[in-house]
Amino acid sequence: MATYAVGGVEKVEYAPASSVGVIAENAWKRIENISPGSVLFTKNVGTKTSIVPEDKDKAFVNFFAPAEGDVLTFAVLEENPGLEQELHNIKYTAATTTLAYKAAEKIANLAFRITTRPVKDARKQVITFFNTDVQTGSANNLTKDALQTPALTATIGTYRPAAEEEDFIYEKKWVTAAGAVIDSTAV
Amino acid sequence: MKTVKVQQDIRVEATGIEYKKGQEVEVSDELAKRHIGTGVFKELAAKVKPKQEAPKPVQEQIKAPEEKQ
Repeated sequence: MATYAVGGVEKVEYAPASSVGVIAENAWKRIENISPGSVLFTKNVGTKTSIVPEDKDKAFVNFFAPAEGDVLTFAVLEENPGLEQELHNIKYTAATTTLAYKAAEKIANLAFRITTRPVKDARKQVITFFNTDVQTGSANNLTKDALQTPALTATIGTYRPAAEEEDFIYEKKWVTAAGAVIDSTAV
Repeated sequence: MKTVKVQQDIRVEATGIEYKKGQEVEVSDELAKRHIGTGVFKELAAKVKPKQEAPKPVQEQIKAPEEKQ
């Protein structure tokens, strides 16, 4: 019986965000040299507020406020000019490979697709965040044994596919190690 | 059964069959229905056996009636 273990990162790709969950295959660009151990998806849960009656010891009612947006964070081991232009407000001069960073901070509206490694039963997961707002900072000192790395924080927004009446936040799709679609329909 | 062209590799868990991109295969109507139009299968027209040509009628030579003198 197949199992569904998720782990590791095979590749990370980005594309312009989509509010309808449709991104052309040729729009994805790969981000290479991901900082080891940096990819983290945080699923936030709503805060709970309870009312415990004065004459009782357990909650009479619980209120659950909606959570803040889920967050994807990761860092990259290089400052690739192509990616830097997507993430920052930059004036780029290719002739001299000069990046001039403008004062106004850029919130990049991007989609991300993470393909995990096939850790068990030769299957891996493709996680797609169609609509995120990305803030980019910088991590690590300039030392002899570390690299200064762009650190991305992507707050995950919603998207609504055509013909759907509800909002979605991300998609997780299982594929074989070679990338084939898996039809799990029971006969 | 339907004849389809596989546009994207797919493994069917229930049967253990993996169809490879580019193959032209016959699959069950149910499987075809699930994947035609999703970018996985493309429906192909059913192969029709060529019809045998009907034998040509033998043309009878009709002799023109002889003219009476």
